[in-house]
Amino acid sequence: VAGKVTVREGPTYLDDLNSLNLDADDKKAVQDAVEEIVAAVTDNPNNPDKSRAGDPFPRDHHQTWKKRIALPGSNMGKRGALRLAYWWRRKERQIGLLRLYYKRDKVDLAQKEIEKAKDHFNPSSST
Amino acid sequence: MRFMNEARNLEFARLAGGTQALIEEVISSKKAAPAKAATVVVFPLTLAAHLRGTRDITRKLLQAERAILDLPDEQQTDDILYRALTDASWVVDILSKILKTGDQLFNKGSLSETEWPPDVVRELASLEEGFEDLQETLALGVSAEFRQELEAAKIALDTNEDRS
Repeated sequence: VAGKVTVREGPTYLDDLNSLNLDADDKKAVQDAVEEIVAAVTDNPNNPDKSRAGDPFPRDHHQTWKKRIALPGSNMGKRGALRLAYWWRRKERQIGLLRLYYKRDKVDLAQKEIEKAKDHFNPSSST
Repeated sequence: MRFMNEARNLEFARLAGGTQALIEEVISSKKAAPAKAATVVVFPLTLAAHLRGTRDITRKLLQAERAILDLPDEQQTDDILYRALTDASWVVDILSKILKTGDQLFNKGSLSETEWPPDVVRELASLEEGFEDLQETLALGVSAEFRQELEAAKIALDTNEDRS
């Protein structure tokens, strides 16, 4: 029988959590999201239900995942939601919490790649 | 899979393009008759049908594009990932324009609920968010800088684990 899934909070994740200054409701939303992930990987370790586990980042053997967390106090909906990056170590049955950030905090990084993609596949868009 | 997605892209372009053209017609007709600002333009079924068609194909397209995240690493080539990122960005650009313009016209009373059905609009907005999310996952996934951040966080977690 497979063992219980454990959750470890990495130091970088804890730094993120402290710096975000979330209120009690928001912290509860993060906790609920982690519980959803645990349930999803427990139910199906090799192919977790994405509505609960989020999406795997490409090219990392489906080990690092991103989960959107809608904050109850936010009126921005999912666009203003937090993102939790985590490490699913199937063999160890362990979830390592890696990063917690707002989408807007990674917009510049994402935009750089979007522009690169557009330039590559739509040469007319680059001048 | 690429060819299937390309066929869906073409279908999306056809339906979304039709929706955009019909919305443009509403705007033009308003400009031509400014005195009748609240007049509802008479092609409710055509616009609603295009909007439903756009929603249906967007649903299929999102499912197909998200399947790229399930591929084994060796199949997630630069070509596949950057192309999917371009596709996702293209869909987001078109849908956000349609939703923004349509909502503005609806709020002004230039479109009725029959022409701009709230349930279809809501689902289309949710699908657009799905594409934005996919766009973000792909973009950060191919970003060397972001991957370094994650690797550093993994090392920190492992180091911390060894000490505990």
